[in-house]
Amino acid sequence: MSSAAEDITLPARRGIGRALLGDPMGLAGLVLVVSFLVMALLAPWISPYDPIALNVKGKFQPPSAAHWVGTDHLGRDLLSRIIWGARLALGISITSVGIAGAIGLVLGLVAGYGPRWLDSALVLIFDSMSSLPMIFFALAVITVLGPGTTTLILVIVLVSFPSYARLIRTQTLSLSGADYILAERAMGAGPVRIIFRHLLPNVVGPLVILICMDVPVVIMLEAGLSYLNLGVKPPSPSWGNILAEGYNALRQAPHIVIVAGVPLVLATLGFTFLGESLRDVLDPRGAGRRWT
Amino acid sequence: MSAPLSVENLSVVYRVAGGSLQAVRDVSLSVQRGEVLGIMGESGCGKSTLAAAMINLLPAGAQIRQGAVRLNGADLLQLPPAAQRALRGRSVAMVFQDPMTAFNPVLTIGRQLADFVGAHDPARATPDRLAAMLARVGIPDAARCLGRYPHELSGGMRQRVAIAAALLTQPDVLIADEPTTALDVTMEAQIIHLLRDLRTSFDGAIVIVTHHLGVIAELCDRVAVMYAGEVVEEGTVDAIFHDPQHPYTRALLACDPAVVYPSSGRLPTIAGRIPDLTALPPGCAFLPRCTVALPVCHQPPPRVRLTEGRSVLCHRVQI
Amino acid sequence: MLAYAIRRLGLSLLILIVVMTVMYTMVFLVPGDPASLALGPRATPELKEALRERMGLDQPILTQILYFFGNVLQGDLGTDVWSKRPVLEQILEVFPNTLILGLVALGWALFLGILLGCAAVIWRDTLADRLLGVLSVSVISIPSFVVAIYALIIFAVWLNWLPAIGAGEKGDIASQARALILPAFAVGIGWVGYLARLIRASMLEVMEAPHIRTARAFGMSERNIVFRHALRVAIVPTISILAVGFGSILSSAVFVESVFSRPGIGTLITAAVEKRNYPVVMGTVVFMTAFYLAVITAADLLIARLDPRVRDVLRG
Repeated sequence: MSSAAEDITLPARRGIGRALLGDPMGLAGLVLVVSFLVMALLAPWISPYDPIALNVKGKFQPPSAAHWVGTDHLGRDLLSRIIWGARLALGISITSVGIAGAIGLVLGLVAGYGPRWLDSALVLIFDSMSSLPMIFFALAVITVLGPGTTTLILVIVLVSFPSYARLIRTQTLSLSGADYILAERAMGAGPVRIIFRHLLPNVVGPLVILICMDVPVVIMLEAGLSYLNLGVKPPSPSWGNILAEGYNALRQAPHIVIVAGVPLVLATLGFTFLGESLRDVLDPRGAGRRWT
Repeated sequence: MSAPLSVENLSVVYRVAGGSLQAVRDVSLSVQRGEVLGIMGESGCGKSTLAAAMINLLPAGAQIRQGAVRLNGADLLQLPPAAQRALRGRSVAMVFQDPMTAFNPVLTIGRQLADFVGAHDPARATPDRLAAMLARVGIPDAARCLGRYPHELSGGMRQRVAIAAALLTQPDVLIADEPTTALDVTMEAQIIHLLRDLRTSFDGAIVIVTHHLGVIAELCDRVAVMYAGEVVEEGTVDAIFHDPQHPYTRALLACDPAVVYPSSGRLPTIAGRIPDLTALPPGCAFLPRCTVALPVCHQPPPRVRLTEGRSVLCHRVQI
Repeated sequence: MLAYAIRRLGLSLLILIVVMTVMYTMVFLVPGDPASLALGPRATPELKEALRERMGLDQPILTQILYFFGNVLQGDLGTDVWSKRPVLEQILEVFPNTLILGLVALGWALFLGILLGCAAVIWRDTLADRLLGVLSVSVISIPSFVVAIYALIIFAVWLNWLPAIGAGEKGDIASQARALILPAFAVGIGWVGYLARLIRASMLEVMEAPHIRTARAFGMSERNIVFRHALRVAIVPTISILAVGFGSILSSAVFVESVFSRPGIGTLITAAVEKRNYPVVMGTVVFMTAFYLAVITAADLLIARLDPRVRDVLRG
């Protein structure tokens, strides 16, 4: 990890763009991510119908001109639900990893740069939280608080921030031993200045990559929990909910399940490709050994 | 009888972004049995590439453009890979520069020595023989050392183990690539002592690659001075040190830290930098830094043979 | 080695204690208490009071925690609020199913992953290598429960080759094995890609190391170098990743078990969460944490056995 801190220097913005465009996988990822982002942002305008508008008489319609991908068991237009589902999935994931990232950044900096006892205590907490597969901890929190969107976001934040904090802490520890930091301290610079001017810009890079790689994981977690009826509550159009409803209606309308899975797969693929590409671009050390 | 090692007109380039880097340019030399040849030059002169080419274990991106490396007469570079492998660790052995990374960290010394020395002939690698050689190179408590892991030994110790391993294969040629560069001064002195000591019992040829004048002076019979991929001067250590002919050799010897200018109290240096090996000028490579350059030096310099085994690559030298 | 083992075990125990404490006290952080939680919003105050007394909730927190730890040491992980059965008993009933699922999934993923990783090293930089690369990244990204659903639809519903539900008949190995195929496939698929990449990267990195060059300089055969020297080094990080990854396998198992209605820890805990059956949830979490910590510690000790440098490093 420490050599990663020394080696990662963010190249000029133009360099990143060009490098990404040159890599077919990264390009594909970028296209997918941008498409979903657009879909999510413009959902209220591009969605053909209201996603929760019921029309029980028109249930289980196969794809047609009126409903491009058909309707579900309550007659709701699936395309609209999927579009709004993108909004929900991206909204929840980006919000949660954003918050988790911020918390991880603060805690990691404090642990890395602060007093040893605080560091030891924080590390114990981080290690404890990483010691259980996150799903179990998430389920415990959901039991206590009850399922819902806020619970979901809280759960994701709690489950994600330890790994971010660990990363930031490691980076901070290796950087704060650097000669130029010691020189600054010798000149009387206070911890705030050192943290903001020197540590922060250098630790943020790897964190951004980690966050990007985590978005697909969070999307999957949200979809999975919603599938189990433990995440976003119906009638909200989470892709997980749609998948569950489609599974239940497999006999009557097999197209629902297929249709619900596709955006989920594409979204996670897109973010993963993009994240992998970003990591290769920003960490040239591993580029020679990378696998596409 | 052919020389144990002879390099003929060897040229090696590296393919880099934007061209090829000429690391070794038309180098020829040979070493006889019982002789120690030093290859001397500053960083970037191509000596390590030359050493790697001598066993044909060049890094990816390196290409041998021309030339031959003859071990007991046979050209290593023309042999099929299996035959080349058969010669490594049997006819020729190498001691690498960095003892800290030369060994596998998860295997014991004994296990590694057994694998290396016994690669072609397991009978050579009995624990007794291994321990005996380790003791010979000055490792205390050799038998216990076999059970140790590399990280438990100091750099100097590891280098001794490397030398022991090389000697155990009873090669015709022993090549040492900067054997003391990664060691501190005390360890360096010990290794030089050891090598000088071993000379008496080792009857093969030895090649020592180094940038350290002291090592050359202590250990070598003959020396080849390299600059920008070429051998610019070659001769016995006596001749080179007392009567250097090439301007680079002269400047190099004048840079000996023992010579501190009395008036200024400063260390002498050679002005300028080594040329760009991807874009070499047609004439003498040392021209930009040479204090006695002539207009004719823009032409490729001739290799002037002063006596048997003594040559200089320079326009200024005449027989 | 012994000193390292003791240190390592001690750390794991400490973490377990922290997790157990957090689990137990978590309930008290929200309005209400475990009794209200368990009984639901329509319980009468008398009912809640009775349950509270039974659960020992009228005692000070510290005493409660100590009782809890004491119970756990005696093997009592609490009692199911609804069925009154001991939680541990329920866990042990279904845990073997999940364990087998995890092991089989890991097994086939490891087998195929190592195979593909080594193949990629041999065919390095060819078209096959690049294709394998894209494929491996792709399978990592697809959620395991989506794979499970589609696999179920294709193989169990449409083609009717394999069972869609359950874990097979008790005592009938063949039916149990058949019921294992699709779930193990779904759980393991993400790991095939990940392991293949890991093995490939690890081996490539090791093969470029200076000590491999030393081995070549002595004329060691490539096969000996790969299996006697390179693999020994490359395997160490793999073990560490596998141990941590077992956790992710268990997570996938939770979802996949639900898709296939397969009795296991996953179905146990999801059912409990739906009914707000906190003792079961807490008991399961503690149990799985202890198990997971045991796996990680065992892996760390194995690594220390294989890589002697690790033993001497002081935990900073």
